[in-house]
Amino acid sequence: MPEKIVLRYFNVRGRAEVARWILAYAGQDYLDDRVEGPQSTQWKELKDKTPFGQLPVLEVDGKMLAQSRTIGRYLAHKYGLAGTSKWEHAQVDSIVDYIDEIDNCRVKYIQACMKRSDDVENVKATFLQKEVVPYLQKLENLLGGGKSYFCGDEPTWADFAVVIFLDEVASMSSDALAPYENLRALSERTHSLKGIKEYLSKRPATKF
Amino acid sequence: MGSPVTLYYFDGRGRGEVIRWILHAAGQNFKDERVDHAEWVKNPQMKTKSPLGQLPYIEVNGKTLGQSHAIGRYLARQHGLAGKDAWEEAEVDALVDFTEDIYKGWINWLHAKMENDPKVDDIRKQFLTADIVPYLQQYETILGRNKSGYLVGQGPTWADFTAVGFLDELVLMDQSILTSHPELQEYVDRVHNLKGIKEWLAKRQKTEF
Ligand SMILES: N[C@@H](CCC(=O)N[C@@H](CS)C(=O)NCC(=O)O)C(=O)O
Ligand SMILES: N[C@@H](CCC(=O)N[C@@H](CS)C(=O)NCC(=O)O)C(=O)O
Repeated sequence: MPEKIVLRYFNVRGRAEVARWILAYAGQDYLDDRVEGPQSTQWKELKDKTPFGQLPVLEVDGKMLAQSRTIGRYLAHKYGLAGTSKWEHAQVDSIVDYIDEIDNCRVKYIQACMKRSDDVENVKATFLQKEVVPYLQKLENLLGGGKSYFCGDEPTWADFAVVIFLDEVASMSSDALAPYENLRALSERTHSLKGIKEYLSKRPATKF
Repeated sequence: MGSPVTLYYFDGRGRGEVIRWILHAAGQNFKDERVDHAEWVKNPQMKTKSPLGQLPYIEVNGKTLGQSHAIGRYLARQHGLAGKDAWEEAEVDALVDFTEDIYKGWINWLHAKMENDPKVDDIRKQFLTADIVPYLQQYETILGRNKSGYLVGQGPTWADFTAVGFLDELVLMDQSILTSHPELQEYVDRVHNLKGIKEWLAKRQKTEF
């Protein structure tokens, strides 16, 4: 019997997108279950049945796993997207956590948008002109020396996490990535990977 | 035993402490290099030497690795402190991330305190009387269900080290915080008494955080 895999999250890219990319790249059949918003009764009924009262949750043959990066790592190991040695696994983890750190900063902007705060433009400018800059610069440098992906010639889920983040940055400002040649090349390369490409062409359009 | 490890972190517990606990529990010798904060700020070379411009990082065989949890996982998996199969490893990771979610609230309070934020008392109160409540409950539920005395599987993992390291910070904020949670108090004592951890706690230098 093939495993039954369900990925449960709200109808946004957010914290489930990296798992969706991994599953798409792996060509794994799964149910991309998009639950109604956090205020819905559907979610209120589901909440207590999840491990920590939050989404995303991955279900594998009825067993549940919470926490987006944990889900990503579990799937990445399963499908060979976590690097090829213990040291590489660790380097990949390190990039994923580094991205998570700055992505948490971006959440302030999303919250400002949702609250229709007067401050949106300020929050956005601080993020794009200040907060994100050292991160992009560091990642750009890590890709130096003609590397196709962070671990060399083959993609890992660190590349997916980075590119998903870059897409969000680019959607905030179309020229934000202009100075980062390596990162733009990485995006292009990753977007055209088999599985990812097809997924991107058919994924539901959502604001976040 | 693994290759020689040097840990670089500031002279505090912070995000370096879980790494120290793993190495002490594993009985692995390592160099616990304490970076002077003033030196770090003034000497840009120190930042350049670190892989991501931050602390902590480790150096192994001349190579460096950044991010406390990436380091923790790498070392814990090497020393049998990360779960016994892929699913257990994932359960451990999920709990580490779960603790990280609430640890961010603690950092938020610490910053408010260090910056003399006028709202610091409200932040502290909200954190101790509301934010941490579901987290403490969750630890209790999991320990009640798992029965081994630890969060995952039959023995200690680094998920216990991050959880107890966090509970230790709570107790420093409020001595009586675990009085109404006897199971958590027992759990904390159990982890503090593990071989390697016990000796480390007896000799570690006192720092504010
Ligand atoms: N650290 C967790 C955070 C999960 C989280 O914050 N989930 C939010 C949505 S992005 C949620 O479930 N909110 C609904 C609720 O808490 O009721 C992860 O990375 O998975
Ligand atoms: N997510 C990172 C956070 C690292 C971090 O914020 N490090 C702080 C100290 S706890 C730091 O290096 N601050 C000095 C600086 O950024 O210059 C981790 O878990 O290692």
